[in-house]
Amino acid sequence: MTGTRMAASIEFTRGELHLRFDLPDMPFVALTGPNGAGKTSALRCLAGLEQAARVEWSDGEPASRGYLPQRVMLYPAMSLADNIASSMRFAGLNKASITERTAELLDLVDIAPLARRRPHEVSGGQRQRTGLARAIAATPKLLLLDEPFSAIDMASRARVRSRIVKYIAESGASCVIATHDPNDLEVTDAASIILS
Amino acid sequence: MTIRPPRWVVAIAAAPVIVLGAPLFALLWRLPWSDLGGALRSEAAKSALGLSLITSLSATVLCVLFGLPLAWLLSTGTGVMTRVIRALCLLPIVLPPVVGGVALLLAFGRRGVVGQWLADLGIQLSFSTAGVILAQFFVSLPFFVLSVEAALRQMDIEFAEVAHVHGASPARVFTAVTVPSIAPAIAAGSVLAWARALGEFGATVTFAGSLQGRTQTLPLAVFNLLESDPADAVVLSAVLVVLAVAVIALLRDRWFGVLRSEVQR
Amino acid sequence: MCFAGCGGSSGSVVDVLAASSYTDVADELETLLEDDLGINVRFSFGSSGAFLEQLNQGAPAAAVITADDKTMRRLESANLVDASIAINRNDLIIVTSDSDVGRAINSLVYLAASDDAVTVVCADSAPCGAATDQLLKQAGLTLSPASREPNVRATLTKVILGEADAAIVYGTDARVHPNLRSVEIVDTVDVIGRAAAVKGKTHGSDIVESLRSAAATQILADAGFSAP
Repeated sequence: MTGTRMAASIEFTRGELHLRFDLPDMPFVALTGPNGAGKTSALRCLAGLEQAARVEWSDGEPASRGYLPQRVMLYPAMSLADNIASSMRFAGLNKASITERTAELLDLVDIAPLARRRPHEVSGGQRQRTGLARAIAATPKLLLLDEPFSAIDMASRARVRSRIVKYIAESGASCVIATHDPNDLEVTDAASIILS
Repeated sequence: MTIRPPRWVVAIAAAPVIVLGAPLFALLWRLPWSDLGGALRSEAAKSALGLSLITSLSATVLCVLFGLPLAWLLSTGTGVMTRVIRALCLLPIVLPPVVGGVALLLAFGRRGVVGQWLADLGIQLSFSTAGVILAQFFVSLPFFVLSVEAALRQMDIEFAEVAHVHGASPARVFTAVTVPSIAPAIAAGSVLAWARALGEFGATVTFAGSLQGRTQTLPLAVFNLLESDPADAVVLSAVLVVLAVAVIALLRDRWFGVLRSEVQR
Repeated sequence: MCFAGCGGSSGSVVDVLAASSYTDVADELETLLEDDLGINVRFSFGSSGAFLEQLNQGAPAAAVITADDKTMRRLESANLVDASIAINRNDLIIVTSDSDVGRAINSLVYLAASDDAVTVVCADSAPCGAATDQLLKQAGLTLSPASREPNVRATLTKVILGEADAAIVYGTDARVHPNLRSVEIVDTVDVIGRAAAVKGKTHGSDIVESLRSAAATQILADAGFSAP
């Protein structure tokens, strides 16, 4: 299954930080580099959150985006299930689809028993899984993930990672991952950009 | 380790406790407990209580409906206009209530700047229950807006950013993400606004007048009773105290809290 | 006449509680009392109905002047004042604004029957209000006022501001504002203003005696307070 591939050229300056790079036309792209190199800022530019940035898309702006920030930012007043459903609701999917896919995703990231819990009631790893599910739920064309598996315990990390990667690959989305973890690079078979 | 205040600080703190506690104690002490039923069942008391509840709750609802957009505007604005509007919002707190009432008359009275147009349409706000609600809204809006604006400014904008990237319109972000996460501050602001509306006297009596069943709220009824039947005035005062205690119980410890999400890492 | 304490006014101020209808004669009465008694007198105003509670709580007044005798009787039976004297008669009158509706009002009967006119009267706890209720009862009329204001001056203010088309106030209040239309009331009700010394306060009885004098009566008459 193939989908649109995103290619873009990014230029962004804030204070000491000067970013200039090209996003290759690949299904998975990893952004690596030392802390402070600008990985998070780069993702934010691609997410359209930095008004000062100049981003040129080769095929036009992505029609839809999914975003998992480094701090996850699950909506505190909603349950985990509602958090996952939120991106689908914002995308305008119908109620039946939303219910079905929420259940599917809860299973995908192994948090089904916690569906009705609130974010402050669960662990950091469980929150991150929820955030992942929320980001991919509405099958966005462009997926932006900032350190997406870092809080998940080592034992489960490989499993969750491979499931998510498989899901994304099947959906045909383009995915940009900012990461420190070399394992992320291997499994995703990504082109990587080293920022410094 | 809690560093406790020394005894002399406690002694100083005792003074305001006495100043605040003595009137309350005296009110309950002097309450004519045996006459309570009669005083409360009088027409004047019942209509004043009913009117107070209806008008104060209506004013509070208006505060929420109009205050939320206003607080949102103020929390995101940075220019001169924002500062001017915020100053305008704070004005009723600083203004003595009677002065507020005079200003309301000059604006919305029959010959008022806005009021004369309303009069042409056959609407008279002074001497009406709507006028009472307007006066209460005028004095209590600042309390709601202040509470909510503070919470909005303290809120982590990254919540809104995630929702925005996922395709939510600004209005959708506000209703689906922002409002639920500042719900405690909205509740606290509403309760404070309600309390202020309930106790409003000066602006009400000046702008809306005083007529049993139409504009004579509890504070106005107490004022009236002071001259004809002081014992009944004490009883109605106690009713207001009970309502005040209810307000405090509703607020509990959450005065200006914002629901903080746990920092992820 | 010079009673005790002649020869220049003493430094401290002596307070007199007076009904708000006496606001405009206060300056002249204060001067008269100062000349007569050599003391520094200060009038403070309010609704007569409030005086009972104020004196009960220890308001520092040496003498009190009420707008009607019912309120004075209450002060007397509460043993707060010495026996009172009558100092003037005042009657109720209608004042109207210069709006179209106001100018059409020509009698109490008309006012009671009118659907358009916004009327304000005093609260029943004020002497003016009690007198108004008595007036309407005697005339067999009912009135639906838009508001019952705490005192007679507040009532008058509503008409001056144009918020109300008509108000029932004292004749003396109408005279203070000659630009307001007044409409006489047929078979109007009178109130008798009374003055009394507050028990246990110096200068009280002297002040009351001065208020009974010919000079005081003249000052009151000039302002529209007829003889009791």
